[in-house]
Amino acid sequence: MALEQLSDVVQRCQALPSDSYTAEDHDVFTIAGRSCIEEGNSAQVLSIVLDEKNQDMVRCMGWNLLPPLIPVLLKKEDKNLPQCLAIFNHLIQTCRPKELLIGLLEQLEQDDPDTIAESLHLLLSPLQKVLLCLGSRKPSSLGMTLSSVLDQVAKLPLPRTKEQEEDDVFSLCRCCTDLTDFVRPFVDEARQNLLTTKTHSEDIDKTTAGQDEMEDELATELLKFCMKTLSHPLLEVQLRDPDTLPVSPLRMFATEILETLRAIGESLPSLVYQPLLRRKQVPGFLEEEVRYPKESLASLAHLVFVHHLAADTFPSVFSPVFSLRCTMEHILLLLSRTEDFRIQKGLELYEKSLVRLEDGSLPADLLEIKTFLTVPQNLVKVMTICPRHDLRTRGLKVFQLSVDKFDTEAKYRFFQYMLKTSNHSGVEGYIIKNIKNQIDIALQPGNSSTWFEGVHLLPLLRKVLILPDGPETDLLQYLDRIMESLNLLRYLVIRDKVTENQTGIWTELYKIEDSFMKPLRVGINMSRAHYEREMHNTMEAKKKKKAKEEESVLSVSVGDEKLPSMTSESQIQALHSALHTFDMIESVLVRIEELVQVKDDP
Amino acid sequence: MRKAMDTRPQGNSFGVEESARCIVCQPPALREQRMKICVPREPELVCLPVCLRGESESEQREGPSAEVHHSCSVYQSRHRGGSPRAEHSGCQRAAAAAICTFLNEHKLLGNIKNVAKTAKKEQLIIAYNQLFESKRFKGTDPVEAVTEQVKAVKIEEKPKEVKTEVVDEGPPKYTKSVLKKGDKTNFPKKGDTVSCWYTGTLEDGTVFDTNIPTAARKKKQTKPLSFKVGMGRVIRGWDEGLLTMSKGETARLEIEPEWAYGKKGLPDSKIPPNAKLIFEVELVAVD
Repeated sequence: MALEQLSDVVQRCQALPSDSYTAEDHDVFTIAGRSCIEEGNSAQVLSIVLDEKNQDMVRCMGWNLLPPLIPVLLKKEDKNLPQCLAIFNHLIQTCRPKELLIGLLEQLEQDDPDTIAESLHLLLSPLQKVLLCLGSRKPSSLGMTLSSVLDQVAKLPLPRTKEQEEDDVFSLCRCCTDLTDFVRPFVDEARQNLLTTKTHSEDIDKTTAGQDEMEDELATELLKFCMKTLSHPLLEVQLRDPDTLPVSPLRMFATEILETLRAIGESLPSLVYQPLLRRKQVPGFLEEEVRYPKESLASLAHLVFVHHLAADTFPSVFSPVFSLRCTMEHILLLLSRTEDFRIQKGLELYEKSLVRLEDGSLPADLLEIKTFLTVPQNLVKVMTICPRHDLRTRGLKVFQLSVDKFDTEAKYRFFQYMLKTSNHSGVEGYIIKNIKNQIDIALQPGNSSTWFEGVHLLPLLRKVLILPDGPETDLLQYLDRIMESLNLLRYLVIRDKVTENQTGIWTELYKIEDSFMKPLRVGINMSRAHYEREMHNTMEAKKKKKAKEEESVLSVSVGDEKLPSMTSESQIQALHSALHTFDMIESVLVRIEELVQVKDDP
Repeated sequence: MRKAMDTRPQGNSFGVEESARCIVCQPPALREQRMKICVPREPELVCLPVCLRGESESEQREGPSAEVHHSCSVYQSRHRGGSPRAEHSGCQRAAAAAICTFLNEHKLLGNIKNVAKTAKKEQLIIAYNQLFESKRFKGTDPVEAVTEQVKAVKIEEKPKEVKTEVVDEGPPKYTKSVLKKGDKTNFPKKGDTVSCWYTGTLEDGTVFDTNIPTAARKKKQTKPLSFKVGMGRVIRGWDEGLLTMSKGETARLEIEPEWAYGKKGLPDSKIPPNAKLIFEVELVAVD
């Protein structure tokens, strides 16, 4: 039935010139043609399509046959495959590029990951052919195509391990490879354009002005494409080094993207160092921020500095301090969200930038740059809150590395800043340990500095040797900080002789006793009494062997399950360990008091 | 400040032993020693600074034609050799002002010859000791950078102005040989954007970086490297070197590691630690 309808309309149109086909002709052809293919009569459709007499019609209306063809081509086992393939190829060659483009792009839209990958694999090549036939409309159509393609790629699951990349179950890697092949001719054209504009830059030829605009448009579209891929998938996948994975489609894809950027005239150093460079406002339809999205630049910086892609072409003349100042912006961006892959990349980039510097080489005025204060704050969040243990550990390692690179004055000011802002006992304890190390270095002969001994040390010490809430301070919560403070005090009292008083601790000691040691002593006694009482009560309750559950003040639920209350044994254990902690704090405090007494008594 | 004052080469350029120089001009270690052993026995000759001993004394030492160059600013203007040196900078004048009040207080102003004749031995000893204790010699003008030697530090919570690291200029850590002369008129200033072609090699000849298109690379378009010079964006050897080049000049810069990539080198790159770098640079444009 459909076949007859198709034959009728075809015969009718054979006699007419192409511009007099009616809308009805179009509709009948479309519906009938599609039905024929769907019903399996593709052989007949093929013969109609190939018939020389029908070429005008095919050129006008043939593209409407694409929708049923593509599913057949994707299925691969269909017995109609060869005919459909032949129809498809003929249509690609005959129909108007503009319409073919629309038809093909419509078919790209899929939902199922498998189908997405397959349709991309199938359609990229014909799309390329079609686009190459477009004249002045090529850049905008290319842009549209690339945008749709990348939207589809974004729906594919990403490989997370080396094995997953090798297996490529969801074909993301194959898509990336296909994508590289797809853009290659356009990149070559852009490269060529750039060369010709360079050589003709002196001749201002009005007739080629339009040509130049189009060439710029092509470069702009390719730039948009590169920036988008840098964000996804490149930012989110972990590239493997050549030692780990010799053949890595993702790494090759990344390399190709960098090469594309070069081809369109973008300088890698300008992109990576962009935060500090004020670029000339590029006349065009894209704003600066949109043209160079920050996230893409951060991804690029990571590729260049951590994976050393395009290392051959990146100039080795930039100063490491300048490089650090620029990459701090990228690092800040990467560390400011909580996704694992971003934090990992942020830490890697930070580490790579820091190892190029000599210890103690960063001056204090760098701390006036905002990123040098906000990045450590983000790093603290990583160290304390990130769920992944390896990232927390690495964060701490990078944190210490960053401290080591500051010079003495910068360290001093940084420690002050961190003590004021970190609000975390563990971090504060770590900083106080660093302060102790710096004092130790300063006290060694030949290293004297005014920052960690002498007049500046005392203000810093006053901030360290303090109880946040006086005698009522929760000693367990602030344990890390308190222990490190006591360690520091003990160290000073032992290391700095009364007669020398290089650090000034001895003249300050009476104040420290009042503001730190005595309240701490009071706090320990109070806490100990309180916990001993609790222990007593718990043990009493346990002895009475109350059968029913203890009434607790609050309950904790995890995932809709209410956790059981702590058993008496656990409670007693917890109280015991608290009491041990107080003993520990007290032992150091007592030791300090002994040492002070000895020095006081002649 | 040091640069402005020490334009003569360091060391014993005029034959006077370091230990015989006036205490103000001596290196600190020697000065401390000197203070300890300086018990005045023959005050007129031993303990007086060279400058105070009078011109006849200096003449005896160096010969009549020798100019007694003195880096101590207070004495420069009284120098027999005549007009104050052209390099007198504001800081010298200020330093001169600072020490003038000291001299004023101790009644030691005036011509050296006259001071030597009129001042008493005890008076000079007291002034001498006080000068060192109060540290009111050259360079104590509060506007200038405080060096490690002068511990006149204000006690503040955030002492930003205090610099404890000595900014040691030292000799330049690179050498330049001109391979092709430039136009000698267009020299870049700090902050100008310069463009250059360059090739970088290690001492052993390994080329680690270049942006010059070779025959094989002609297909790939290359541009000269552009950056703002003198802003610390590139290694110091480049910043300093390029500021001395004019447009069109090609020069060979041999840069010591201190002004290149230092002890660390460029990890994961071809530049090892403590590497001396040799660049052939052509300055193409200055904007």
